Amino acid sequence: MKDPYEVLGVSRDATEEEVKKAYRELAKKYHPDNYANSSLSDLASEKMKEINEAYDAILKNMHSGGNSQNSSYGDYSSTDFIEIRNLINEHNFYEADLRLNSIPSDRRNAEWHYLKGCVFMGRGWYFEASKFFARACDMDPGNEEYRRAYENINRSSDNFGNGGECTCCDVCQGLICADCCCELCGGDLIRCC
Amino acid sequence: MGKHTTEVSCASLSFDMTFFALTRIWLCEERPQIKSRRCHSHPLKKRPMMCDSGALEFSAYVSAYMTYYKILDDIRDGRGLKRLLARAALIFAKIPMSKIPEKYRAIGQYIGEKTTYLSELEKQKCEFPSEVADVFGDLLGYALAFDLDEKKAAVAYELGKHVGRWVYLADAARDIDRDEKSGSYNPFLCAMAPGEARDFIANGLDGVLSMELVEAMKAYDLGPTDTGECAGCIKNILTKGMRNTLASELTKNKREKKNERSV
Repeated sequence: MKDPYEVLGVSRDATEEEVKKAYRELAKKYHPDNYANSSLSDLASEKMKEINEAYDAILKNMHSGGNSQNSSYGDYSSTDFIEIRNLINEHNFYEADLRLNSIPSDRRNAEWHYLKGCVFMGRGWYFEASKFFARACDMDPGNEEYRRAYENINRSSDNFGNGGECTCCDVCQGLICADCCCELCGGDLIRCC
Repeated sequence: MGKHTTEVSCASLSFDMTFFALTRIWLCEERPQIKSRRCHSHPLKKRPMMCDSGALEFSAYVSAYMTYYKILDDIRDGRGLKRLLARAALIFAKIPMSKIPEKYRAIGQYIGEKTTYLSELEKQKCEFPSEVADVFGDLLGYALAFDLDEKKAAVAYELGKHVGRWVYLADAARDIDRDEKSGSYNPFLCAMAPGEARDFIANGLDGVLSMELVEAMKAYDLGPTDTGECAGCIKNILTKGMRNTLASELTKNKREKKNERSV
C-alpha cells in the first residue's frame, strides 16, 4: 500500500480538518459517477479505492493516537467501512447493504448511518437516504461529508426555482398549461381562452 | 377514449392519464390535429379537441386497465359500502375490456400483477415508502415504454418510473390525515411516528420529491427534441405544475386542519 499521506497529498502533521478537506477534494475529482460510461471508469474506481483506504488509515492513526476520542469513528469502523465504501463506489449496493446489516446495532455509528444512506441513495430510495443522512448528521454534527449528503437532497428543489412559493406569474402559467391539457383532451378549464 | 374503450371509460379520465397521454404523444412524435368539436361535457359549445392518434388510442387502453384493476383491488380490500360501490363500478369497468386488442393484453396482465403486489405491500404495512412507490413507478414506466423502440423505451421507462414514484409519495403525503383517522395504510406513518412524519412532510418532502423530478427531467432531456405543444406542456408540468399543485394542496390541508382545531 502506498503512503497514505502521499496519496491524499497532505503533510504528516496535517490536522484532521486538512485531511478531510484533501479527501473531499480528491473524492469529488475521482468519484466513479464522473466516469460513468467512460472507458476510464475502472481506473477511476481503483484510484477512489486507494483514496478511501488512505483516508481511513490516516484517520485511524490519528484517533489511535488519542487526538479525538469522542469521534464517531469507533475501533470497529476502519476496515469494514473502507470495504463498504469501496462496494458503494463500485455500485455494488446489494453487497454493501448486506455488510452494513451484519454490523451489530450497538456499533452503528454516524458513519454507518451515512453509508446506509449512500446505499439507499444508490438505489434511488431518496426518502430512506434522507432519513439516514439526517441521523448521521445528528450523531456527528461537525462532519462535512454527512452534512453535504443531507443537504444535497434538500437542495435538489433548487433546480426548480422558488419551490412551493407561487407567484402571480406562476399561477397564470399553471392555469394556461392546465387549460391546454384539458382542451387537448376535449375538456375546458378557462372558458374565455 | 369513447371511441376505443366505450363512452363509459370517459368517466375515469384523470389528470394522471392526461399526462400519460401527452407524454406518449410526445414519445411517439405524433402531431395530432386539433379541431373544434362538441363533446359530452360541453354539448352546446364547440371546444378544441385533439383528433384520434395511435398514442391516444394506446392511452385509452392503459386507462381502462388501470381503472379495472383499481376497482378489483377495492373489491378485494374494501368492506361494507365501499366494497358494494366497487362491485357496482366493476360492471361498468368490464365493458371496455372487450374492446382492447389482443396485442395490448400483456399490459393488462402487468398492471394486474403490479396492482396485486402493491396491495400486498400495503397490507403488510411496508415501512419503506420508496419500496411501495417503486412498484407504482415501475408500472407506469412499463406502460409508457410499451412497444417503443429501445432508446425511446429507456427514456419512457425512466420518466414514467420517477413520475409514478412522485405521484405515489405525493398522494401519501396529501392523505396522511385521512389515513391516520381511518387507520388505512400510509407509508410515511409506517416509516415514522405521526409527529415526525408531519414534520418531514413540512420540511423534507419537497427535497425528496424534487430528486424524483430531477431524474424525470434528465430522462425528458434525452427524449425526442420535438418542441410541439405536448413537449412544452410536459416540461411545464414537471418543472412547475407538479410541485406547485402539491405545495398548494398541502398548504390547504394545513389550513383546514387549523380551522378544524379552532372550531
